[in-house]
Amino acid sequence: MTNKERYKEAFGVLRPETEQWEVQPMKNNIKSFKAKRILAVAAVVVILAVAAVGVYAADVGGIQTALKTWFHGQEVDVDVSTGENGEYNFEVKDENGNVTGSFGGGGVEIGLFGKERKLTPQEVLDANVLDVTKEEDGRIMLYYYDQSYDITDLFSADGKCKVCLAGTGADSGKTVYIEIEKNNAGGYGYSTDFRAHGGKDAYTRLGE
Amino acid sequence: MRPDTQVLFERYRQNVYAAAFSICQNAADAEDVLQDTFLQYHKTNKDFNDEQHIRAWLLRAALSRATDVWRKRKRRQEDPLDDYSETLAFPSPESSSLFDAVMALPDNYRSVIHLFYYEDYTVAEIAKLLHLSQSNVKTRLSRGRNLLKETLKEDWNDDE
Repeated sequence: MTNKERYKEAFGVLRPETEQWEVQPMKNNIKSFKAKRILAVAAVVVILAVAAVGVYAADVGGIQTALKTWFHGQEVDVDVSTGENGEYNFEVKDENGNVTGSFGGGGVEIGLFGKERKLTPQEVLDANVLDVTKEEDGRIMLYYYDQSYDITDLFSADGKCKVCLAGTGADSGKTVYIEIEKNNAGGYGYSTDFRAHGGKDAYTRLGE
Repeated sequence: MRPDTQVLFERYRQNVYAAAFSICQNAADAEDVLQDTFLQYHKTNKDFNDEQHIRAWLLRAALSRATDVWRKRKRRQEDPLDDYSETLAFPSPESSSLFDAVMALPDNYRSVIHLFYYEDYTVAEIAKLLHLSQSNVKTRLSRGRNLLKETLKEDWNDDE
């Protein structure tokens, strides 16, 4: 046996646990922007919870910047400050300037060759302009900036849905392609690269 | 050319994982590198010349990312090797010894050794892939082989 054959035999036992890339476009974008997606969940939970009970958010102090973002089709004002560990603290305000919710988060973008870059507060917020959620009345809604669509009937029998719509913000002038899939936790995962995978004809165009 | 990520993942996932593990020496880290590497491919707009170009790009990205992970662990003085290697089903004790001997090599030798012995790249190809001079690759290969020979003795041939 040659050295190469020995080496291949020894290292041939290494097998990654991950066997399918099929769901990876969604999963990996979530991984790449892990903190951002966690932020999205936190934002939804915290904002809804706080708004529902009318609790005034605590002052996180050190407010640096006023930004805007979109939450379920509505544009909201957000103040951002940086926490002790470099994380961002966001405060959501209503039209009267009252704080109606708060959440924290941050993110790192993994670039070519693993180079990491801390996301800006606006990038963290922009990563959350797309959301798919099941409402209390059972409808499955897709929210993207100021657009909102009922996509309940667009899912195939295997729990998948492909839609496209006119891009906004950084994607203005483009068509945004989104794959949505029901996950085991009862929520919905969705692609965020906004590219068509497979034929574009498979995507249902929203907003027409 | 720009093959679908799923197709490439099925074709090269083991190669990328093995390359990553040979550097970062930790199963969880290697899985992360595998994911990050194919995510990089998925996100890049790069147009590739052919399949070999893609394979080299994937391996370079994986080795670069794995090296970052390895260095971070070293800075934190964490031992990357866990019990994972004990769970691997080596076909023979010699295979297990070879695996351990490679893992004990300095990290800058391991990448070159792995690309030569596992991926069948030539010295010139490794030099191009890792952005090293050919003489540097030859030196690393030679020193790596000598260390393997010292450890493995008759279980490591004097041939290439």
